[in-house]
Amino acid sequence: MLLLKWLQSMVRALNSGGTPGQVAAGIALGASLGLTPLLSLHNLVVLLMAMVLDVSLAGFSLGWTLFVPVGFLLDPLFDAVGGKLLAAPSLAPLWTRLANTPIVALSGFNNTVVLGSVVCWVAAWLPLFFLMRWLVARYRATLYERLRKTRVFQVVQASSLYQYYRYFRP
Amino acid sequence: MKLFRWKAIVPALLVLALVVVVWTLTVDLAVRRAIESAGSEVVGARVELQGARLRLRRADLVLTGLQVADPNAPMRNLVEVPEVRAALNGHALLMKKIVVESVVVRGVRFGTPRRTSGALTNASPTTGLVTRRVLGWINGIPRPTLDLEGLVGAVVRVPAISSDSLRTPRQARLVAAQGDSLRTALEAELRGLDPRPTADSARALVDRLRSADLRRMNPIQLASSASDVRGMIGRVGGMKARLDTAKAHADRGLRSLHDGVTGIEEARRADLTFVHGLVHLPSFDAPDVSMALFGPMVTERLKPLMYWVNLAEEYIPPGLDPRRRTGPRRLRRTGTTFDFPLAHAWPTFLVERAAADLVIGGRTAAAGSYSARITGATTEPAVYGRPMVFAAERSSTVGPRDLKVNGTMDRTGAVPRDSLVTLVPGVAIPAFAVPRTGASLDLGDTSVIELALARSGPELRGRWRLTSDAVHWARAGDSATATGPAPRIGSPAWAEALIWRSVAAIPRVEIVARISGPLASPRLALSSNVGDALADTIKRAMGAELERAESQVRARVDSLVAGQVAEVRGRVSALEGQVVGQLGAPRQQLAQLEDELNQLLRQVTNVVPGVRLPALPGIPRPGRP
Repeated sequence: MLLLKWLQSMVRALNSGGTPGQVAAGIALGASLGLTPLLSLHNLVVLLMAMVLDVSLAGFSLGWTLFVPVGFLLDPLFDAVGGKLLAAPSLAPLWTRLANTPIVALSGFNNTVVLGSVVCWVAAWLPLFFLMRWLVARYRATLYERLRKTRVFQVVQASSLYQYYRYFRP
Repeated sequence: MKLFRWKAIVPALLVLALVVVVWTLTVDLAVRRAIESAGSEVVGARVELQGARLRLRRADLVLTGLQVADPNAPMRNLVEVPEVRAALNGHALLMKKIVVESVVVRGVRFGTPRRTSGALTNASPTTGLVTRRVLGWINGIPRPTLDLEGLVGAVVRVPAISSDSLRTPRQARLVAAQGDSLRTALEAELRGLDPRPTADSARALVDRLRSADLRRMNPIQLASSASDVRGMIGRVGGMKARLDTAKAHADRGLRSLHDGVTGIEEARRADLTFVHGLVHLPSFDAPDVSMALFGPMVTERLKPLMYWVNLAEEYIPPGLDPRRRTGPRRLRRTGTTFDFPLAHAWPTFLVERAAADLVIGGRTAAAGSYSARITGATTEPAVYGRPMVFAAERSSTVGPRDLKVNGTMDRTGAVPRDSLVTLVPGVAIPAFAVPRTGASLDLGDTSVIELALARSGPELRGRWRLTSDAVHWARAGDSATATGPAPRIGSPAWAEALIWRSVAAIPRVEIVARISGPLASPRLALSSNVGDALADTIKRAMGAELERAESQVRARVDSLVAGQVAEVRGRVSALEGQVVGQLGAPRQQLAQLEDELNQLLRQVTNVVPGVRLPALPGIPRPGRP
């Protein structure tokens, strides 16, 4: 059942009426939830941004799903990057100020994995956006026409969840 | 293309509201779990809370039913607190800092029984680190035994001791190997450093010029001779410098060897102590006797003190350097969390003022109510900028009024300075068996314990003193009334009787423990009037036996190690002779040649062909230094 929902999410994201740019922006935003520790303050902000900004929510959930295993795999890298940044003497005044700033202190930025993953995600956001936009465009131009005739695609489109999804569709 | 999806504003607000609702519903549980988890990690046993209630609007926290299990006795609580009320600083909470403006603790009880075990089932490697450290320190304290049996007759079986079990032969072999290495290295260095050709050439040049008449030489010959001499001086000087370098290497090696020889002496002393232990030959010096008698009782009472000292050391570091700790537990990697303290800001954890009511139950003189006050308890004293001060006093009207607990913990600077002064009258100490004596000592319930502890930097100094004026000695079993033949000399019964006779008449006991040295592993020395009296009695009663046994042990150890020690000393001396012979003598010869060459150079450079220039007063001749 979960797998079916995931497939629904992916197919909808790729075939929705949103532009490739909106889907790519959703995927790039959703990557935050996958790459960085989920229960962090910045992810609440990212979630609200995904809802308020005119990006594909299906793309957002697809990005989240796709990047969860990547996040786990890259944890040692995030740990190292965060460790380097937090231990850098030149950045110590900045971290000290942030650590003593209301709300910001609650973000957990002073953890190596949180900081490393957020920094990597922010750095990868634009490349990810452009790569995804190109991939979605290519997909729609080549594979989409063949897929829409398949039974799976028709089942997905007919489901009740799809109607709910249409409410948020860009 | 539009940027905002305005119709999603309401759902977004709903999501936010949902987050707030979930947080409100779960925060109490989260606080409870956090306190239980952090407490268990620190204590090394279960820390349980019945409930926790955090009210953000009023910024207060109420904890109920706090139980801290004793890591050494899981069915007992170290401390039990029915209720803790804390007023928090709401602004600091937004910075992830817990600033407790005031906390009131009521009805603290110690040593209460538990219904379930307080042992941890899944302890992390760092759980109870402080407890383990303190236990490690206690287990590492040497505990002499008071075993008199080994002193008499054939029990001292010194011939059975093997040289393999001694440290001295190993140390001697190590020094011998060092000596061999040094000799090999020295010979290798000398092989590439043969001074004889240089010395021979220099000698030949000196002889040639001395036999020549310098006044008959023309300027070209004189210049050539001066050049030869200067060149030779350079060669000799270079060779001398190389010999000096080799000598310095050899001297360094010899110093190391001498250290090794000193180490042999230390190893010999350690072996003597070791063999004493093997043949059950205890030390009868008064401090050792005191340690044998009261060591377990005193260390048991010092354990909580050392626990708190180590706990403060672990969790209240001085200075403002960024600190690192393991990140929060989650499915993802925990990572490392850095703390960035900022002077004159709120520390991560601070209790500005705390007041506690303590109750010590029972019928002893110490039973009653006490009140304690703490100000400025923080995990970042340098940030807070003021020392922690704590004090406790009796609040009930019954019982002695002179209880005093005062302490400060000043870690605001780079060097931590802590102090604690305590006077606790009316302490009830359960009767305890005195090891190897067959007797038990009841100190009654009116003992007075005084404690003075000072810490400056890494050094800890302390004095713990227990006095009891109405002690009661009791012999185990019916041995006190036993009749029959006198016990055989050297038998356990004889030893017990001897000890009993010397301690039974002591009505007052004074035990002093001195702690000194590095905080991680301070030395503990005990003294007591009982130990002094007993040591004196034993030495008087068994002086001859003691001397005989001591001399046997010393002779046996010497016989096992003397040969090797003498051989090593001989080899070191031979090596010293070799260094002097192979480096000292050639160097001396070269130095002499250098002097002669300098003298010759002066003669050569002072000669103008056919003319001997007169020396002018106050003006040195050319070439003369």
